[in-house]
Amino acid sequence: MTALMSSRQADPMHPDIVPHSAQSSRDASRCIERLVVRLREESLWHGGREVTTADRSMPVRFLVGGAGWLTAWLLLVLLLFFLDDVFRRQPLVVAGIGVALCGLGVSIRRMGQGAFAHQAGMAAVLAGVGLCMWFVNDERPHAWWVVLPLVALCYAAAGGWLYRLVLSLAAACTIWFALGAMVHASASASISALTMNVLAFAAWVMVVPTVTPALMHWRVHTAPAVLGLALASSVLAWEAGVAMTPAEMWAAIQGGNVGRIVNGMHALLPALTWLCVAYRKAHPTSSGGWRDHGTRGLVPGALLMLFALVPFWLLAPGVGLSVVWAMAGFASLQAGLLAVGVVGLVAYLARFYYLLDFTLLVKSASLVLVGALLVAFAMLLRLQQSSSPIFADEDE
Amino acid sequence: MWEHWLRRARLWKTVDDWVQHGAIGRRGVRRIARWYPPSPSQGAWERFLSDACLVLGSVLVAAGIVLWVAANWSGFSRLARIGLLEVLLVAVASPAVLPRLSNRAASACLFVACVILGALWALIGQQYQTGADSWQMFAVWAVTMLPWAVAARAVSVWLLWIGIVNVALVLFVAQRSIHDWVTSMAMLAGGNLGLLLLFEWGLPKFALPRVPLLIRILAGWLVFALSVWASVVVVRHFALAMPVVGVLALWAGVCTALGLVYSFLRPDLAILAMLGLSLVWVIATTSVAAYWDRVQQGPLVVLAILVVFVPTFSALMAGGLRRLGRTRRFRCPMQEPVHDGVDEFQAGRPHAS
Repeated sequence: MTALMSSRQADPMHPDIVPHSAQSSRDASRCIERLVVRLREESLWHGGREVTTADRSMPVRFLVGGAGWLTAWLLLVLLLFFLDDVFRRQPLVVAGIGVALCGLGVSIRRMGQGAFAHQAGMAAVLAGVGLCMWFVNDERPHAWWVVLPLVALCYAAAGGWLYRLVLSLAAACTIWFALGAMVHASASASISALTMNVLAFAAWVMVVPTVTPALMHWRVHTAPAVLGLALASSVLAWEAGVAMTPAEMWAAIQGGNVGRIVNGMHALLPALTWLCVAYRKAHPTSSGGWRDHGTRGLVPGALLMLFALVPFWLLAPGVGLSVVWAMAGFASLQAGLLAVGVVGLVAYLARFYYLLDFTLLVKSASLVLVGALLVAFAMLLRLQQSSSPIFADEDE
Repeated sequence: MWEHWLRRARLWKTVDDWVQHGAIGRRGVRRIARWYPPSPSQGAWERFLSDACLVLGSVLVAAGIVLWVAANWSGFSRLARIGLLEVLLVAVASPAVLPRLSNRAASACLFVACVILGALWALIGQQYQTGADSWQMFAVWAVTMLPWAVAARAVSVWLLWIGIVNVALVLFVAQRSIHDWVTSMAMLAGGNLGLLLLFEWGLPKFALPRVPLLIRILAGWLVFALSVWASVVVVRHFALAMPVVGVLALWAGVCTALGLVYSFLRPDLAILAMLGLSLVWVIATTSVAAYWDRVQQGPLVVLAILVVFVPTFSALMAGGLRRLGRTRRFRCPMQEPVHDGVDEFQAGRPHAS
């Protein structure tokens, strides 16, 4: 409490916009309005009255979002009724409509400000991708070039050079590999693993800098691509052949099998993420980060633990990636990414149960060992926190 | 910590919208980042790590034990296997009674113990051929776990209990060869209505204070089951007037009762929003059932009407919810405890002036 009060007293210009007392959406809206006033006073606000400053509450967003999705899909079913004949006679036209829908969806997402713009845009993009996939899968098994106009449309419809670039890259990678997986169902596991690594590292590179203030301006441009790439890489981790035992990795290192080593690189991501978060560039408003009065040994301890768990991340790649997305989402205040991580953790622990590559006893032993290590670390942290001034008055 | 984290995340989402619409530039973003750092503080990270490690570690240990049982290892005798698991159960549960152990750690111990209890019942079912995945096993698990859950007074343990009760219900329906969606959903809805009543008015008196998250999960699941039940009955048996009217009347009655309770007795906008979405969904499916085959060009007419009706009606309801949210009844923090303690995002991180 003292720390909070001193922080507020230290900066008299601090607009207290998210106080603990802000329980309702009305309070939050007022707080955001105060922030806008403060920005106007400092000539940092360039928006007009049309830019919304209202903070809509979660229940209202839930209702509007649910109804929006329902409407969007009803609209698409209506469209399909009209296209019934075209489906049978002119598949190329269907592919064209798919591409057009993707472009339309991206445009709606970018320009639309209405209550249902998000849902309508996403539904249009998904329907467009579905039509393209149908075309490639049923009509032209080798027409992967459908992706190119799609990427071009994304590029044209979206705004901001970085946003365009990233969105195009994300769209190209995700859709191309999704099409590849559908068309060539027998694609080798190593290709899947390589793709997963490429997509995961691409998302990671984009999300980790967002914790530094210099790149905050680009956060809005990179966030959708990060989410898409994280999701795509997590989906690819579902492939059973992507997992490998530590012994296989060791054999690959000894034999100099570069491809295999690269396919296991994802196992380092949790530790790398923690490293970037813990030793980030000092924030102007922070006073040196972890080295001040943090729990003793927390940063190196967590780092060591994440490195010690590398064999487990190799065995269960989806679990490791989910941990990365959860950490990155928490670090960059992106609830969507955090949700991807948490849902992924549940899904991939269930997936680990059904993996046939390892015996049940190996899986059981690894889970108990990893779990015990995590619980021990948590206990150590709690012990230290109870003696730390930060947690002294909030324990339990 | 999480409430504040979510509030901060929503603030930055608003800032993202401003950037996207060109309302603020790079300097503006930096200024806001100076006031409200776009990353959690050290204290929040420490709390996140300790909570995440404890939860994930407990889940992994519990999953590992379940896998061990599933392996059906052959080196031990029947009694040794059961005895080993019982010893493990005692070893995991006993630290919970230690006076110096924090509430979180004790809850984690009891959570893992409850999972081991299920594994023990599954092992007994496996050994004595009484079935390792029958509804009876889950029902017995839920009943025997009840004292532990009452003692733990922890949301995670009660969530596990709710999940087990629901699995028992689903398996009961499947095992009785009731492959009819209508009956399944009706049973699920009925069971969860009972659970909702228990958690809303029964347990708070002696076992667990009212937890809004649990209530919302239960209400959401109940509204979902009710809506699917009503819509399936309407679509399948529209020609039979009486059953459809009866089901719709029951759905409307339960929803109205829930609406009244969560408008006046226990104001909760989230549950009201779920009821609103249920209303939209049931009206949409009833319209489809009524006009799909009965009108010339039926599908097109129905879809066209719904495309206009659904957004208009839900926008009106959203407006109503927003107005309701501004009233005094809903503005008073009714469920969430307001912490007077340290702001975890600011703790240990004084702002530079």
